[in-house]
Amino acid sequence: MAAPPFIKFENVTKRFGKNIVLNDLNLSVPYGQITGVIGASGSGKTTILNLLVGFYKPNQGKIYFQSRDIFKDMNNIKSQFGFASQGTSFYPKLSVRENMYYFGKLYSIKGSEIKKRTQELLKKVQLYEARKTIADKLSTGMKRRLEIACALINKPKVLILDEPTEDLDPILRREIVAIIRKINSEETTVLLTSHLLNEIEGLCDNIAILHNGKIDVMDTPNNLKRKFNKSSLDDVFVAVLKSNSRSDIQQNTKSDSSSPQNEDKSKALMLVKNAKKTI
Amino acid sequence: MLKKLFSIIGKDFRILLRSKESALIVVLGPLLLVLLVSMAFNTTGVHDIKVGTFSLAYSELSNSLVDTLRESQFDVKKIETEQECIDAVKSGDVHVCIIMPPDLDIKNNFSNEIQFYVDNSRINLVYIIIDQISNKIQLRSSQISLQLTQELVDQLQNTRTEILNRKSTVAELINSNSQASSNVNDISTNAANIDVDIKIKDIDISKLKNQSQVVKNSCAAPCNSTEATAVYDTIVSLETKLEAINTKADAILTAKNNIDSKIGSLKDIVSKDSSNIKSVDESLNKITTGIESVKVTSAETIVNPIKPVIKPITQPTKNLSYLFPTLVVLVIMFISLLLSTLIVVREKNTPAYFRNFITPTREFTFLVGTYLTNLLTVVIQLIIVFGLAVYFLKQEIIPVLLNTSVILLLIATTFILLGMTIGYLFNSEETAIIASISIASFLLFFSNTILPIETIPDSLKNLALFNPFVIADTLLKKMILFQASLPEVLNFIYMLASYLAIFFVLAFIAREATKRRV
Repeated sequence: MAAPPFIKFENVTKRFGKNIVLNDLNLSVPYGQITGVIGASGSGKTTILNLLVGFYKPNQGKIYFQSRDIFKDMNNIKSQFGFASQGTSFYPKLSVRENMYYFGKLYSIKGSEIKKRTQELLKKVQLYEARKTIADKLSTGMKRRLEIACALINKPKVLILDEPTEDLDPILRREIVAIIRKINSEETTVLLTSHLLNEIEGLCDNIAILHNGKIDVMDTPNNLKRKFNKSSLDDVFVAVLKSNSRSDIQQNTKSDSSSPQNEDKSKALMLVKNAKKTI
Repeated sequence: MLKKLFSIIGKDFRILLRSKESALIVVLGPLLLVLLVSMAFNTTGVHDIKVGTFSLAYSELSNSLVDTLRESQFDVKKIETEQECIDAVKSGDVHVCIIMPPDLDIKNNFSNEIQFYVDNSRINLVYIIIDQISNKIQLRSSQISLQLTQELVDQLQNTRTEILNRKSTVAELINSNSQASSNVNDISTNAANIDVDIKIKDIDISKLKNQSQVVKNSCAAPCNSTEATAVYDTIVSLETKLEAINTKADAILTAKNNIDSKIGSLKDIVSKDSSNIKSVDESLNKITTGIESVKVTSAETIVNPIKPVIKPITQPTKNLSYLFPTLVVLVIMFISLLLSTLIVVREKNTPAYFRNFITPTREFTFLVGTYLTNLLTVVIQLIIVFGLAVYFLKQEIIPVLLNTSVILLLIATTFILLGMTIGYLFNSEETAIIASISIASFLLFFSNTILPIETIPDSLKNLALFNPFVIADTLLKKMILFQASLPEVLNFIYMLASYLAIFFVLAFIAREATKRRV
């Protein structure tokens, strides 16, 4: 029997007034992998992430984390998520270290443990030297790294990244991608959104394409290219956006991304990754 | 939860202190306000009141009134015409115009009416000015009255002294009159006893003369006719002398009768004089008794028989001492409302709001954390304010410090929660601050601070009595000025506690309702 998805959106609808952003959306995020959600600007990618951390409540449908409804045990579930937003979500007037300490405290982590983790994380994201700097005075790349460090202070099982490489120069992008990979290699499931398809292609194990408030298709980058018979993810994305209906897409694809076989494949991929890491 | 609270409070303080404009406005602003208000109201009277005066002819008295006002630190200007003087009030050049009658003087049946022209639109100042200037003029008027009365009293006292001095003379007069009366009586008696009824006619000289003639004629021999003739002549001479004596006796009788009559008249005069002197004596006695019966001899007491002495029910003597509780409530209200609104709105608008939200921290913890940050700020400021009050105003706060602290905590909490509610309801910092200031101003206007509550219509007055600012002000006045105990102000505490509960619920609902609205 196949293992249940780590995170599961089940027929989730989210409206803002009359504007339906997510419409009966289904999404499964496998454990230990990097899953990317791609979509056009304003398609609802951030809404998916905000729903997952409880910032928004769905108008319809359920969201499960490890098979538990997240709104029934929100505080417990919140402690297992780390979120790095598209911009910054720390206090600009506090120093790097103070921000880490403050958010660590909000996760009820002991002071000594926060200090230890802060040191580790700041070294990991290469911000240790700037630990006493007021956050507002950090460069854009440093702010993004601090954002990720803050998201990791509680040792989350799931790291949620909203457009992590947005507005960064190529060098900074590479740095962030490297950090994400490093974090993922420590068995942290990563769910990210982006519209920079080239990056996502190399980073993500799975890619879900959001279109018209729904996940039209989800698979590994290679499978997607194969399914749509396209040479690049850009072309796949364009093909999906041009499709009029979900049935069109299903006709064009050879398998379903959320099939049990895919989940088995995810686990296998994870095993391979861990083996690589051990080596 | 406690560690989270400390963390939230620590973070809030760091942000507040690192945000220079916030630190300046929120922390230093109210202290500056207190300092300025303290300097402004740390007096017992009003200053720089400009007075215009007009009189067609300034007399010595009018000039002395002007001098009195000048000595009382009023800025007095003599204005050329009555109309100019009134216009000066309208234009705000002077606060009050005083019109004095020409040749103002203290005379009988002379109306010394002094007219005041004031700008009633400055209702908060007009009564103070009228009171102050009337007091000064009244003081001068009283001085004049006192002077005149003193003269009267002195004259009366001199009269009494003179009468008392002359009393002995009157007594001497009575005594001498009595003696004179007695002497007159003696003279009268003695005169009455003088017998001047000399009956010389009873002596029959003619018979003696005839007998002597007979003797002479018959005595030719042996008797010497010469001797007989001599006897006869002697008798004739005697007769002549007796007749003279008789004439004198008659004159004496007439004189005696005359004397008797005069003595009688003298007796009447002496008796009448005695009666008059006694009457004068009685009158003088009556006058001295009358003067002595005047118990109040102090001119000041006669001029001001009733002295309205306004005794404060509290010890403080400076305006600020009376204003101090209001000032404290004002500071608490403004700091609490503005600071809590500012902190809440900034927290909502900070990029970190989202991260706070996704941490496993209850809404209640954030609510309490924000409240405690505000409370601590207010407490720090109150410590400074109270410290200054104890040092400069010699306010006796220490005996009531414990009870007052409870009340201050209650007041601060009420306004902080109100400010937080406003903060949660508004998204923009500007609108939230405007809302806070508007509410604070509304509460301030419908209180005793600007105008007495008694001056507003009944319906509004009844509402104003439930104004949390009025309740807090009344409560703190009772605690600080009258040193009331907590049970004495229990009703006010209940009212304030009700507001606190309402605002807490409102703040919580507002936070819950708007937490995802960012």
